[in-house]
Amino acid sequence: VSYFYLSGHFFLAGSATMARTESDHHQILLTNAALDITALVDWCVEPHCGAVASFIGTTRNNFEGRTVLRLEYEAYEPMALTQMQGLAAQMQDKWPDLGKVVIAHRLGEVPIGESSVLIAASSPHRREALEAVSWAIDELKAVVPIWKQEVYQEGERVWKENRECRHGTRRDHD
Amino acid sequence: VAIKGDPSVLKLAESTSIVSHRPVQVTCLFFAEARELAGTRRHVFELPAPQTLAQFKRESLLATFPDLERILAHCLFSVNLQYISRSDEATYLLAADCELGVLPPVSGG
Repeated sequence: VSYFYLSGHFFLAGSATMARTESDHHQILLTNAALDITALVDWCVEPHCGAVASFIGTTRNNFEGRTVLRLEYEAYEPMALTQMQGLAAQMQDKWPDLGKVVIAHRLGEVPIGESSVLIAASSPHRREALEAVSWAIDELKAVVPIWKQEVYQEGERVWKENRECRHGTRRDHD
Repeated sequence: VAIKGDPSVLKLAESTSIVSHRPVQVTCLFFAEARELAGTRRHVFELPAPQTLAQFKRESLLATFPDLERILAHCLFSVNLQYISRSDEATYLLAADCELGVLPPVSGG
């Protein structure tokens, strides 16, 4: 277990942390451990910013009337990290007033009701942060190479496909 | 092919023939359903000569892992961590050693 010191905050990074990059303006994380939502959102707080917006995706216990026992995530880790960094950079290009951006995704087995993804951003006024986070979660679901499998009560497992995915069966893409 | 006398065309023809005889190592990584259908996470292909991505799919990938046929039309490919657009597959040449990802429709979030 090791600690990162970053912009006045300490972060815990155990062996479960698979990939992490950070700069003064963004932090990107892939981890097998539970997401420390409070620490990650706190990292976004900036003295000149009056708003932090966040989206937290949590694992759901049902799909089309069937009971889901748990979800399992896997990623093409170096590519997912690259894509997530690209998203953070695009957020800061599209909304130049943004303060800090965090994009974190949990991998491996995630029990029902726990957080699988967090996107948070700070800005001087709320609109930029709200818009940027909303854009980023749609984009993450469309392009970042991460996959989830639902495990049902009957034992069946199904690979999911995001509606937003640009190259899937639900939407034509070239 | 008319290459009579034009030195720039001759030069191009020579360099093309050099490229086309060079062996290429493609390290293929499979994810999610593609990993399950392939029965492995990773396979190294030794191509005797460069192939376009479209050729590689038919002549190398499907020849070795026929079960991938089920989902291949819905997969997107990456080369060295960059997506290759589906419309570029016919022309994208795998001419240098690379890491290729077989990426089923994503479902993160």
